[in-house]
Amino acid sequence: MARIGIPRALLYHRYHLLWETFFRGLEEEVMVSPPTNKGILELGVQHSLTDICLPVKLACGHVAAIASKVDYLFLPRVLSVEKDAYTCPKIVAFPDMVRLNIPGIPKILDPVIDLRKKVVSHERQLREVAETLGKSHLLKKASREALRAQSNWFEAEPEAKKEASFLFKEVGSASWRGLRIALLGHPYNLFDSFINFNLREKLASMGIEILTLKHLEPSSIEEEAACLDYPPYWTAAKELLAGARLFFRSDLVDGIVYLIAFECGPDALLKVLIDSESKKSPHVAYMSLVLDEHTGEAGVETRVEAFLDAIARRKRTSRVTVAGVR
Amino acid sequence: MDVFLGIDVGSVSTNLAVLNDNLEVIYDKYLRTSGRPIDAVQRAISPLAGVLPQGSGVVAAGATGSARRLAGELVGADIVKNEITAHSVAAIHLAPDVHTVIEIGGQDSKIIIIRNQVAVDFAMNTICAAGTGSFLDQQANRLTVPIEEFGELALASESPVRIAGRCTVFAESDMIHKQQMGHRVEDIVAGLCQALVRNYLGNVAKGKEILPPVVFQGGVAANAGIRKALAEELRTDIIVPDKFGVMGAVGAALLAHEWRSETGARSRFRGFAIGDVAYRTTSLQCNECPNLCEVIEVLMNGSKIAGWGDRCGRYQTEKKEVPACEECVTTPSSS
Repeated sequence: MARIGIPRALLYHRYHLLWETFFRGLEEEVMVSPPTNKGILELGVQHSLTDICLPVKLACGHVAAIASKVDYLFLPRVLSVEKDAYTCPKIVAFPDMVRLNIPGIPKILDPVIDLRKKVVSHERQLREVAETLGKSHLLKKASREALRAQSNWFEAEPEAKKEASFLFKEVGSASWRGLRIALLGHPYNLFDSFINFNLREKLASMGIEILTLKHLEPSSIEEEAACLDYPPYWTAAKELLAGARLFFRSDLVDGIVYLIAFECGPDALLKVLIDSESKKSPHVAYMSLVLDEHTGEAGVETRVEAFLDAIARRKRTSRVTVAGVR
Repeated sequence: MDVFLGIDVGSVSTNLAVLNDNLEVIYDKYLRTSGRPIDAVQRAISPLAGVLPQGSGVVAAGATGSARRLAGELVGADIVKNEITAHSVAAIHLAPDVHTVIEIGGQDSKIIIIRNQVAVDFAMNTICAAGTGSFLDQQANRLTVPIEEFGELALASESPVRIAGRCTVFAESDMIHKQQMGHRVEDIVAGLCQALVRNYLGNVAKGKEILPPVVFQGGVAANAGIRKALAEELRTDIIVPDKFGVMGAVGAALLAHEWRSETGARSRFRGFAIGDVAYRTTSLQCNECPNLCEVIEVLMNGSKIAGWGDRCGRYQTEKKEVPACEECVTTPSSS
């Protein structure tokens, strides 16, 4: 039995169910790197290009953290997950970045996943991986189980498990309780509590209800994406834009916070598109937050606090006005 | 007499405002933080006993600014709020019909959009502090012009030069280049004011609907050159409140008043004598887990009154259960 290492980074946050279930189905042991911590960030900064985005730096750190503990690293080269759309180029090139920048790495399993032109079954995508591991006889079953597990991704929200308080804990105004906030962003920005300074945990501990794309019907996101005049080139950006439009038009949330990784190319374009969507729905408060390795927790909190205060004060005033009219 | 105290400890200045129960500013003070926030808070608070009317009692205190947590612990603030909320509350109080608040401070700049006396939108400079007060300070220093005279000097310019305002590093080399070419200092200074305003409007205020009345506050509002450049660029009159430099503190005092009327609780305010107390902070790097948090502890006369900076809560004053460090997750195969 071999030990397969998977970095807890990038698309792991989107496909963890698929990947982990698959390798367990092949009767291999799976080792996932620990949740991001400062040590991993430092490893990542040390082992990556200087001008790369923070999520990729962190991914390099996650690889370096487990490289010596595993027999294989699973770093799929995901080009495209659907017809006529791509993932981010840095994700495509990630296995190469690892080979070139990180010393002492074990053998890399980097199957090419490319559904841009035609649908390729999951089984076929991973046939070579199963062959390399000498587990071809288990491929069919493992693949089936993996796909079944992944179909639950939209329901399985990673729990905001740790308690986390704001730096300024007295600040949490009671008026925030019950607000509904949508968090938008790539899964690796949303579900990595290190990169976003425990934002989900902090909001949850203040009694704020958090919604993400997972709270929207996957089919409604697809329908909305099909309505876009200029659908973005990247699958993740397309989903985020469609999701943002649905949130802006609905009564589901009081506000939307969009988490952006500094130096992320797709986010730079997407920000402009989401900004302009926000103009059409002034009743939904909107803010973007830029995250990078130099971002201070205090700066993020200042903006989040002000955002929540503004929503809460606006709600209070509108209640007063309504009561006054009666 | 019941009074409400607000303190705003920013990167460059520490401001204090005291309001009476008619919410009028009866005392205010603008001090330089000079890199020593604890000292600045003590210098701001200790003379209060002598300057406030006899029988004044602080019934609520609020803190804001980037050192709000530290300041809040030192003075015993009842409410600790972010600068954006504090500034918008103060602007609405002093100019009830305000629609746009422009605030340029030491290290950040913000725009707050207000409609019907409620902040509906805001933006703050992102990770770069280009075009804020610190940069003006630095350049004033380099040109050996006192910062107080910087704005007046800009007004004397007849033909401002064009300076790149995107990035302070480029702006500085641009200014040096222009100076070596022989341009007059006042033209360079006026050019800098225009560059700062262009940068602000193009970055921080980008895409925001700037409707008059526009209130300009924060330390940089003292600068006549910036005021002029802003009015020209926006083609509207700019209102600079009397208390433009201490609006954050006024806002903190107003929020303290709000806290008091909502809760009716007793204030935690430590009194004016905090100037005589020995406050000290210690910082340490925690090595309990790979996060290596940089922790600050505040000591009052040698005993710890607060701690922060840790992700797990270990150093917070109240005892918290410390979560176990997270390790790699290894799952064996299914069979």
